Amino acid sequence: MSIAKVSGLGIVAAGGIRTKEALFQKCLRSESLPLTSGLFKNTSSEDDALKNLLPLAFQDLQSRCGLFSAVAMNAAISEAGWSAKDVSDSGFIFASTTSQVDLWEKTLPLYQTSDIDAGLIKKTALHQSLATPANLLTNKLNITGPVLHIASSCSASSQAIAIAAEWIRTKRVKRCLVGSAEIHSQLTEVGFTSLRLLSQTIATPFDKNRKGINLGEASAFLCLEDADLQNSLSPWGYVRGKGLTTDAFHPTAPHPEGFGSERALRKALATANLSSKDVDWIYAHGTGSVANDLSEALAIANVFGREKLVTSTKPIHGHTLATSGALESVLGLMAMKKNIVLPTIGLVTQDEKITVAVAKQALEKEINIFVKNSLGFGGINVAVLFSKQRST
Amino acid sequence: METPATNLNSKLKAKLIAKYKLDSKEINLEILPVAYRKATMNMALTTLACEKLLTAAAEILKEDIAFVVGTHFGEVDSTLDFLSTFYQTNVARPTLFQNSLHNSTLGFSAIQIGLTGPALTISLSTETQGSLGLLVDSLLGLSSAVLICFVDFIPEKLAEHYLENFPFLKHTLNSATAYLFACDDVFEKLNQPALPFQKFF
Repeated sequence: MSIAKVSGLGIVAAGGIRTKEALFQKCLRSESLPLTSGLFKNTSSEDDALKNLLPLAFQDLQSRCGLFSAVAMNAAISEAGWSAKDVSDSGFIFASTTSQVDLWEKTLPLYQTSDIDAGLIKKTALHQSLATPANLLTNKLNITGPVLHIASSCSASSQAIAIAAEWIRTKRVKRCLVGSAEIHSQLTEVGFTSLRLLSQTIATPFDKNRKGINLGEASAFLCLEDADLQNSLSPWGYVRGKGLTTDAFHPTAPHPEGFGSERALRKALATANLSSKDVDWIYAHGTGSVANDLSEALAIANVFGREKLVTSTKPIHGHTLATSGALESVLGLMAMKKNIVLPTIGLVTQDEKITVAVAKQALEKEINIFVKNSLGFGGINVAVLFSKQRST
Repeated sequence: METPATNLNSKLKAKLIAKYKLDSKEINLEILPVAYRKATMNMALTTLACEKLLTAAAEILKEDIAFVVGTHFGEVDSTLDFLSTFYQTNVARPTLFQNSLHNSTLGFSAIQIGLTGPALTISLSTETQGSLGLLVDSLLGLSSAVLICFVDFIPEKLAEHYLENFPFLKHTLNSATAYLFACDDVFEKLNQPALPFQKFF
């Protein structure tokens, strides 16, 4: 049976972050990206700078989602050393909950007004389907393998990694490009504000006084390939296990006792034939919302006990929604390679109902296996287990 | 009891157990049960179509069913309502936002039906729909059955604009079509013939 190895990584994030190394350094220095009104955000001038990093074939991308994706994707492919044919033959799974929302959110609602501009409506309707960036990038890369767009809320890119690993495990593809992008939009900002989930100050996951989330912007890509393929590069790690479950409990709140997330974590261990003792570090979803952190911490404690170190890096880069699983998997793989547990900044007084061991500072520690945990609206739970070695 | 990796069969091939199509014209949201009080048409179509389909496979545990909602435009009706209301009144209505999320259709249906297995919302387009058979097969490596439902309901005023951009939707717009697939083991227990299945569209 095949196993997927991770051979290339790429990141673009808010605040002018154009490389994975730049964001990783922010994590090590416990620095947050600049926050304005609860948002970690890029300025429009930074879009031009991103465009300059791209080959000519990508210069016509109109959406910030496309720009972010193209830069992160090219970085990952370049690092993996994939040829144009390798890319063309690969599968591609993209995840986003808003995609090119910047190209339609201001104009498409105009259809309800009396002075409807049919031409404008028609043009913007073209961009509304979430799968449009996946299609654009597929065409630009001449990808002939299977293509999927996953939109399962904040767990979407973790699901993408899990499905890609399954395609490789069952030999449906030799290589699979997995990516995600989430940009700011009025829809997201106003929506999260209406749910009273947005914190105006830096989020403090697992803290007794946590006030909610910060929204981030990012794109993250991973090149996954069959571990049997010859590649002179040392892989970042291997996808060893995956667990996908649903709460069937509430449209936006997680199960208060974390039952769904617990089942996902247990399934990830089972598919890897590993026990909870084998896991060295838990990279939590840790949004900073009251409900998420409590539910997730209960799930983690039930599966792993109270001793394993748990991290959330969302106070550093924000909650990047569908992209969070891929973004944090990239950071987690980098941390595993360097044997560093990433810090959860901003934690002052841990919520007494949260009994897991939260890592407040970056720590040197041998990491051979870590789990990236994700939860999303709609009760979607995903846990992905990464290992440093192919087998343990 | 969890399924160990060693028991997962990589050569599973999806077999179609049942298929059901429901048109929005067959649904009156006003007279649905109280659980549907905040439901959108996408949510009602998906839930009712899937419930109907699962009667053909009551033997399968709900946690053993992977659930996929495939949609081109998601909850576009709620999304545009949310944005229009906000632009016109500066009031953001949380229920409209909650309903506007692409994944909310799946979340609603999972709650109503009690589905607790793997669940994914897939956004479809010309490039992505061809991969769905492979996704179904892959999910049968993680569960015993896969319930997949395609749904797209859009405001009447926008139908012409969408169909001009996406003409292949003319037979599926404003309807839900659900399919139930199972792996060999489950299929044998159900003791019924497989339905012919070529492709989703």
